[in-house]
Amino acid sequence: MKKIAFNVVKRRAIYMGIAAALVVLSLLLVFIKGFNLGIDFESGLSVSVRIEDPGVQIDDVRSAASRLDGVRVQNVGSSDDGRYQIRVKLSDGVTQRELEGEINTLLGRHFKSYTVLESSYIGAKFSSSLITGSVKAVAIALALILVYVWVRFRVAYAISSILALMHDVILLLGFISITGFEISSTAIAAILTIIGYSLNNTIVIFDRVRESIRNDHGQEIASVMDYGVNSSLTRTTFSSVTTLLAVIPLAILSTGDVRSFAICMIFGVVVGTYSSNFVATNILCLIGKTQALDIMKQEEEEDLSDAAMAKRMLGEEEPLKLKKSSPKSQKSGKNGKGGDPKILV
Amino acid sequence: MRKTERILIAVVALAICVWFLFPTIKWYVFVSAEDKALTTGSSLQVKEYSQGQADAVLLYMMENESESVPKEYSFVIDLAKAQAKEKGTSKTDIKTCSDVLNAFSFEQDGGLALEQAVEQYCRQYIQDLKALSSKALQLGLDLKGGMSILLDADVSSLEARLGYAPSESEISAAIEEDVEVLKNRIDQFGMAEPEIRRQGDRQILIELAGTPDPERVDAFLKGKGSLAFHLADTLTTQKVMAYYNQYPSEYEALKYALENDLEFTQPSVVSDDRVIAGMFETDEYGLDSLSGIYVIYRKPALDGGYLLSAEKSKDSTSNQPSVAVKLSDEGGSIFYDFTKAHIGQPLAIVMDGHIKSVATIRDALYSNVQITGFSDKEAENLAILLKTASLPISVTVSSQQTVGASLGEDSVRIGLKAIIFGFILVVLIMVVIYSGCGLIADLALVVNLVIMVATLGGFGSTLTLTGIAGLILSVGMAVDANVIVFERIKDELRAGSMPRKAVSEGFSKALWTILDSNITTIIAAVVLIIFGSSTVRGFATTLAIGIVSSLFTSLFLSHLLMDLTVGERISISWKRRAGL
Repeated sequence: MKKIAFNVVKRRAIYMGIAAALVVLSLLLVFIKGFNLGIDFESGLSVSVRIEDPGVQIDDVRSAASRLDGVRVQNVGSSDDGRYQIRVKLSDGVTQRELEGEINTLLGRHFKSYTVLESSYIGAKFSSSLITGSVKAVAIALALILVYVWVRFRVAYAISSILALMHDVILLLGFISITGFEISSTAIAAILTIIGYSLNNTIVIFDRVRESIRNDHGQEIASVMDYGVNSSLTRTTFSSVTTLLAVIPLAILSTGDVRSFAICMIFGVVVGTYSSNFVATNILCLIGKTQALDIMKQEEEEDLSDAAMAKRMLGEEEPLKLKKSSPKSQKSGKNGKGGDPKILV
Repeated sequence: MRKTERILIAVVALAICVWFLFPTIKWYVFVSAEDKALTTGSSLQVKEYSQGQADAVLLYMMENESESVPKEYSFVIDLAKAQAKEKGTSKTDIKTCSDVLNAFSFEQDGGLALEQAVEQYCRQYIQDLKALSSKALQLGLDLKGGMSILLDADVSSLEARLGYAPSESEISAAIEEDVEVLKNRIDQFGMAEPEIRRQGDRQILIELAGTPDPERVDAFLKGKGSLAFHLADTLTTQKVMAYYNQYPSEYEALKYALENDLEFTQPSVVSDDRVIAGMFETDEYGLDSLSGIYVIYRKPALDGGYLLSAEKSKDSTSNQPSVAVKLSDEGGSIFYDFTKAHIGQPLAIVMDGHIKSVATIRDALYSNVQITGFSDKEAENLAILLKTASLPISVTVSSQQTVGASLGEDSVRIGLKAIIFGFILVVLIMVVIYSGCGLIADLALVVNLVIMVATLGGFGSTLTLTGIAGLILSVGMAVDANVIVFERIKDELRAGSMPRKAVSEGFSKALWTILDSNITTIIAAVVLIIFGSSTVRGFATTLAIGIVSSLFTSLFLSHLLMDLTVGERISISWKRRAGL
């Protein structure tokens, strides 16, 4: 197998350019096209029905429900399924029960046989609390992650990973906007999962970067980044593939909320993988030049304790002593000194 | 740690998981659909079922005396044997229906003892099933169909009642009480085992399985709540009882009318300003059952609108169980005037037309009322009853979701299919990429799934649609830790390490990478659990559990398995020389 190796830093104009363009595009979409706000975010009643009468078209359902104020009828699932979603905003003075009853009467008058599959009612207070709650959840998650990475790595790593995550979130929002998926609590769940997933990737790469810096202090920063990306490339690929394999059946088989969740996940896995490899590393590279990634004395002590802790946790009793650098890192060190960005194993 | 210790830990952990998994397997494999339906029935349905079974058994035994007991009633044999043993009869071999009847001395009581035994058996059977179902992993409402209602507490109503702005802890306590009140209303309204719990600071979540009747749900939320104190008339009661002793058939008709809240004509000894009311006690099913009658004044002395709180307490002088009722100032003054005028007379506490207790007025009472004359249990029940009449803090419906049962079934089928497909794909690709080591990762994956289901069941959480999504995602992400380790091991092998050394180096180098990357995901999941809405929470819970269990399986279990299997050779790739 021929080794694929990316020149992450050398080609940063391309990688960062793509990322920046997509971010701008997503932001434009979000601000111009906006979102299909789900029932979770709009107060009102949403009833999903299956109409079993043969030959019924969506227009028939529309006309049946047209008496209701501000009603919206949508097709759900495949069109021959006969599944429709009827959404009505709740006006003042009308209770949800009355509205539900009215929908039932109207449907009963126009169609012979129908089943109410699902109905949800969202009060005004609920929808506003959901928006603030979601924004709060994302912000808190990001802040906590920032602190964690800061503690485990250094501040430059934390900032880079958070910026990469923001790239993911913005792209995902743009994706949700362009597909017209409903912004529901499940969409929020997808965004947060992608944050977790993408960060997972980033950390694995940064771990290699840190390791490489520890093992050889004199390297050029570009080669360190390339090493980080390329040495974890196989893992990155396999992990993305396994995650996708698990999610794709869900996207194909399911319907509704869960399906849009799965599709968002697929998009997010791709975007997250891209940002970990090409965005986070390049940002780290940029900040790293000014922020000093290699305050070496402390790092070395930390390394010792880390390795020792790892051993202890894995149940291998080894005396605390300075670890010999492995042959591989010596090799990468050599390459690093040569200043050649195309390193590696 | 030595190898034996590690094996021991792995075995113990697995044993615990299987232990927690057992109720779930038992529930889904060995409990029939009809029995499952019984456990979700309301108390009234359980009562009807048990009594129906008792009647059916007795009828069958009487009609088929000479035949042997059929299989469906085989439990009756055990009941009869126990009965025979208790009586000390020599014949303990029960085979035919007449044996059963004899064991229960049918000749003496006409089958009453048999019916009671069967009814009790059925009740116990359903209770045991309910206990089992609470231990098994249950499907969420979106998967089995049902209604979930999110209620917002209306703080201004509490403020109006108290007369001042309540503190945060007072609001919190009032919401807790609301939850209790709603829980206690369950049986009164014939609801089928709803889940009622507090959510967040100001909300209450109610989940009802099946397809609840919307009107009944409304009534449940509003409460019946007509609580009142009526003066009772002992003298007329005695007269009425004397009258009915003469006409027993009329008494039966009266009882029937009272039990079913029907109209009836009163005997002429009862004047128009008085009314015959039934005394009701709570039976074993938690339902009201008629225990006697009492004549009370039609006009209440005080109604429940003046009630502020009710607590079970002890009478300070006699140390007898009592119920301490607190009335509002206005109610207190009405009650004071009334009780002062009627010292020594009996007072009936009436709830929705049912007399719950009759107590004697001993003193003129103001806003703090002590009602005595019950057993401990009765006092507790009455306190609950008085409390459930109205919600301490009123609520409004914030959101409501109904999922039809057919949609739920579809979701389960699709979810299971997706899990199975995804699982098989991931398992296959691991073997394709890592051959022998891939098998170890697959084994770890299976154990991971077992741990997840066992943990979810053990915590008594429910599996929702989004939970299934979380489960699937965890499957995909769980192999990631193994991939990281395997890649590290390959690195070591390339660098020339011997297999054993490569394994131990690979695991120790990958440890912090894996921990760091997973801890960040756990952070995201925990934030979702705390701040997310209930649908998102189900997802985040399975994800968090999945990550923790995958850490165990990949870092501990896979490591152990690798140590046990890897010797001079390692099978980590299909290429001849591992990874090179």
